[in-house]
Amino acid sequence: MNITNHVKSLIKDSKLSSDLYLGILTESELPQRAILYGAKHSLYPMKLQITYTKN
Amino acid sequence: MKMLQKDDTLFNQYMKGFKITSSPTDNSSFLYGFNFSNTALNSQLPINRLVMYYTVASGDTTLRKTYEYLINYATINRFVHDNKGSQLENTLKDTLLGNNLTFIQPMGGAKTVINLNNVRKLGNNLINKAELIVYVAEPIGSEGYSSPPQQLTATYKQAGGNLALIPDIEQLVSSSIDFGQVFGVASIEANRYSNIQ
Repeated sequence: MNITNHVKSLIKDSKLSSDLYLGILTESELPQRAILYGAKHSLYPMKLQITYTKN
Repeated sequence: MKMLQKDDTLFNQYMKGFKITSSPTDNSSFLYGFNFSNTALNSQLPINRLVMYYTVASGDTTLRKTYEYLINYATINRFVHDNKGSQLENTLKDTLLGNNLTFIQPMGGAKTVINLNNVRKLGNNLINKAELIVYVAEPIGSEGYSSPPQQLTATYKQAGGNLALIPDIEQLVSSSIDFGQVFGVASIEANRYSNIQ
């Protein structure tokens, strides 16, 4: 999931909430739900990969 | 009554709306969806509307009229989530369990929250790309109609408390661009939500 612009906004605006809420498209229309592996799962941890250039 | 037929404003004041409900023919739970958006209609019927067919007394065929009223639809839903005895119930009681498994439900259910405060440590650098990678913890399609959704979204809480789509998604929505091409969809082979290469 590309969140590049959101991360830029977080860095630029210190007052912006740093909590990211994962939800489902068509939240009120489809009953589909998801179970995801957490950040500390031993095999499949969720990850945030950031590519940046040193300034 | 004649005035109501001729004046949309008077009619809307008089007619508060219709309540559409459903009842199952057996004991199973189900959802039935309506799409009242104008985009859901075809080119011949580009506007949602209420049509009132008007006829005169039997035997008199001199007058036939159709009155059309624009409708302003409202959706009121009530969803009850029963998490008793589930893994989700345990995780909601002990959020540290979310380190291993985390849950996302539609209809106002559970949401996964990720705190990104640490990215602010990169403040002096130029961000080229940030990609969140999450793995599905069950085979797609194994749960029938409750299979994982094809598309996740991400929101953040605004100062007023409302949730808003992050800019990366907002751009796609405003431009009517297919999410999957640039944002990632559920990949059965890789069992994860990822961008299409």
